[in-house]
Amino acid sequence: MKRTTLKSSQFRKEREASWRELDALVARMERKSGVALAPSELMRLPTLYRAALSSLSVARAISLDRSLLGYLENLANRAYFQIYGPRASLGEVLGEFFGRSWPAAVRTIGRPILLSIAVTVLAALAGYWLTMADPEWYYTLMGDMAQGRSPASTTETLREGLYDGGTEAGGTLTAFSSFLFVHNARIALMCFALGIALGAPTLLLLVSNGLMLGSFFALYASRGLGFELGGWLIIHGGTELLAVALCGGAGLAIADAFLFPGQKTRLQSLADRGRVAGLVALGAVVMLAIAGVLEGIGRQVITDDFARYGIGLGMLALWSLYFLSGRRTLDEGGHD
Amino acid sequence: MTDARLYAATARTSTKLERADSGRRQTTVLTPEGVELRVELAERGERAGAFLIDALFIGGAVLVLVFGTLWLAELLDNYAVAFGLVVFFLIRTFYFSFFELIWRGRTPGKRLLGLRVIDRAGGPLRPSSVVVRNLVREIEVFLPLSVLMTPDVVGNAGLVRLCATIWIGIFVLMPLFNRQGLRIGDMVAGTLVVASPKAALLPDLVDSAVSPTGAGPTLRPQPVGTRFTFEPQQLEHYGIYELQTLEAVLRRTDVHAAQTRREIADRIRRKIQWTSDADWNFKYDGIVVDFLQSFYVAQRAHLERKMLFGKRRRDKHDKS
Repeated sequence: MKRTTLKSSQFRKEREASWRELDALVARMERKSGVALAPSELMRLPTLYRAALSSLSVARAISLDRSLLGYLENLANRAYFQIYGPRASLGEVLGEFFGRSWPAAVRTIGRPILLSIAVTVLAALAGYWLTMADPEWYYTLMGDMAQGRSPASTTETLREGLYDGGTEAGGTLTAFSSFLFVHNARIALMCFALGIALGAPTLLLLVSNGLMLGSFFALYASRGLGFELGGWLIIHGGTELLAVALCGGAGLAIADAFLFPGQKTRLQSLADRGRVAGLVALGAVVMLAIAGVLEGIGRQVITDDFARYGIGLGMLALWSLYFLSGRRTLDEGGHD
Repeated sequence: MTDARLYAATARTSTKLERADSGRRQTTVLTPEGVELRVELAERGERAGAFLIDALFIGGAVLVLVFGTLWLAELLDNYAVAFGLVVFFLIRTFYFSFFELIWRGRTPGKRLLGLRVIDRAGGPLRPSSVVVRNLVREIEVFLPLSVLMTPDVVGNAGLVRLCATIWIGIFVLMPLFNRQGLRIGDMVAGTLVVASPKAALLPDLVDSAVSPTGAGPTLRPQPVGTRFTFEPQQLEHYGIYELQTLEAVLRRTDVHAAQTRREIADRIRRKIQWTSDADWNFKYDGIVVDFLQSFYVAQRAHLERKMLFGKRRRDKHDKS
């Protein structure tokens, strides 16, 4: 019998050089991520990658050489990882995020965000009304968050609480604001992440947040300090509450995607919406950092009511402008 | 199980995810070019290991930070605490995202264990996916941790606490409840964690001689001996599974390889009723190797020819 020539082994001989070339390129990229390949090599990469993919398809159809199949499968995988891994530099990612993706993501899930704002406002009204009707509610709603401010306090104490702190040392204030930021950021991220539990915990967090706000306001309003408290709250609260609303909206958007996937599979729907919602939540962390600075430093240093209102409302106007000035939204896959 | 017994065993078929040679479960992703890539899923244990390594790194960074803050305290005065708090938060929240962004889907822990994050749908791994899958860690890791440390957070009422514990347990143990081992973060971000093992391209057994001394196939191309030729009906006994097991045996280089080869050669000779040579010939490993390799080439040629006509014979029980 004459020597057997196999199509599969001939195929391998013809293509092997290009596989090895791709292998070497990919190995270099793996050793040092982001290593700059020479321009000519960069040009070769997609060609070699597609050639390897087509080799893989052919090999699956004609070859039974397990070592060859395994190698090609692996090579195609490794090249795929390198080519389709995220490859933007950190600077690009940040620029893209603040310049385009974040506001676009906010617009994309605008409706759940409006819903979460509405829930907070309604809960605040309820808290206000309840506490006005019966001050005992204050204790129920605030729990131990009151920090010594309660219906039992005198009006004078309450008023002092709004304006003290201006004399404290700068370092302590910064520590205070960073503590506030970390605390709030955790709550906000939780608000987003708990959307996966069908949104119920997100709604609960929003409602309890609103109830506390309304109840707190009722306490001060009943002593004629409503306007002053408004300044004390809004200087940072405008930004902070908006951030919480964004996170709440993100959580609700996830819950919506999971509960009502439409034509897609639940997992697919979740993945598509999750990316958009995550962008929104990430941005909210940045807002909370700003709110933390406003609360920890700005509020303690600035004690004039009108200045407080000016800053707080100004920030809100800026945020609205930032989010609403563009028109672009993200499609479900998180693309432009 | 020895290769000889494997060879005799039937290829198992099941509805579960197929396992790769490494024993990992496999799944497929469709690349943008329209080719289905088979990827090996990271084992849950490997992922836990990678996470622990990363947690150690974070812990280390925090320790450095604590001492650094104490040192900085003199420099920065009262700002040191603020600085420490924020940096700790940033490390904890963005460690994973940061590394997965700059290292194409790997953190130091994943890199050490050869794991990697990819897009489940086969597209490019987007920065937003990376960020999202790691933000969700807040409820998968840090929420349960804080509940463990301060159980009062979830309320003192027995029922409330029980419900909260079960509920958090579902979050944490989610990877155990689905075949692809997705955690909640993977579900929300549409990602998958895969193992990226290296595979070397071994010489083709068709045109390189297997050295009988057990040194493995040599790189020098050498025509396979033509001492053994097979009749078509002698090639009708085995399928792809047996062929590839034979390939694995021929590539073995360990001390028991010669013994296994002899056993398999005997088994094949009985099966295909090989009578052209006297039994005593097969006492020599050189002849055994030559015989097996010739058989491998002939069998592979036969099966590949059938494959071109659309017939894939899976194993020896496949009579189609």
